[in-house]
Amino acid sequence: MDNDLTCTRKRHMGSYESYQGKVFKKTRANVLFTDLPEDMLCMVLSKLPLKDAVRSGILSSKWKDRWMLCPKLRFDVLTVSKNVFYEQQYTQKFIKTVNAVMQQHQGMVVEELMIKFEFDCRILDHINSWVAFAVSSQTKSLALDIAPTDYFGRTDQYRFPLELLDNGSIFQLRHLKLSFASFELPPQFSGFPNLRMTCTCYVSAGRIFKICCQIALILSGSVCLDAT
Amino acid sequence: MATREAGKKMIMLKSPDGMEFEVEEAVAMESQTIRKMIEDDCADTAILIPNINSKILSRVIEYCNKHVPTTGATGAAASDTVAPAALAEDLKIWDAEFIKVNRATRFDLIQAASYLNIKGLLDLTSQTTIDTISDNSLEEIRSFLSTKNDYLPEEEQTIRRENQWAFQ
Repeated sequence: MDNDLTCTRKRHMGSYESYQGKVFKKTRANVLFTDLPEDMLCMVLSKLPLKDAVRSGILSSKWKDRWMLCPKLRFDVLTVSKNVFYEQQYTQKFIKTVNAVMQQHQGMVVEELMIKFEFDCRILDHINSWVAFAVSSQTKSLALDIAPTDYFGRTDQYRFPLELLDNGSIFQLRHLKLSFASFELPPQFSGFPNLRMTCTCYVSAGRIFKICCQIALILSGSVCLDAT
Repeated sequence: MATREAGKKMIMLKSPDGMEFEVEEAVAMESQTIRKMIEDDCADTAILIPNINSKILSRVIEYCNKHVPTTGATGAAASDTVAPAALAEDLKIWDAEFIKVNRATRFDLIQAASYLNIKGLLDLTSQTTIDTISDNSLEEIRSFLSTKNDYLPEEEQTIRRENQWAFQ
């Protein structure tokens, strides 16, 4: 399957094919992970599940706050292990964890925020505060995957608080993923100018289908909305 | 074969140590940095890639060449006969072989992928780094990162308490 590029590359290979061998190793055997620039350290660290990233703070004082510079936060069942017996306990633990991490990230940029949790109207205030956190953290990619397992036929979707989004955050937002949410458009709302990708499921925009279409247009023009 | 290749636009990439690599434009555009240069008409016939030596650049090109989307003339034969899932699996195996390099090379690849903005390569290199350390004990990780535990016992307790959920 070699094409012309591979051939071109091979023409040059002769002069440095030893780079993976001993010559190269000898000169750079002691390269350390921490020799990487800070932003790349954070980038690598952000590949870790949040729980492991947080645990890196215990390594040494140099590492204490490094995990907080990771521009991505993901909360799901892996973040908070579901080994607690009662569902109620799990809910409490999940909320406590998300709130604790967000408090430590106050005032920092969080480019990507993902929350996967089954919606329960009793935790509405918390979810709203998480959206407010995304707004204040200049989040570019927001995913609220909150469809409960028994979503079919349910009408008590999460009302996405568009009013919490200021002009800045509407401008910032590039990716938005919502599930089991509904919208009420303020009259002056004119859309997300920079939204490139949306992935929505079980999102409804009220009872009137016409409004659904309007939202689809407003969001990005390429959204598929399932009115439930 | 000749007609197929005739239609491809080629780009010359130059490393600071004087090596030149002639690559298809589509392959070079796997790098978002180079794509932007080309799209903004900042790219002449040759593009100098600073800070990335020929050894690393050749490997980056090797990666891009493998990962360039198999659409159009080049990939037609492959995608007609092989299912996408099988192609993805093949790529995964190829990636695993590709990243079997020493630590220094891997770190160089991370920096190159970051500068050239090649998401797939950045994911591969950093995930591999994570995988090599994540199963180790705290002491092993400290040794790998050459960092010493300089906490007082009470300081360590405070950190564990602040994020209790992560240490359970």
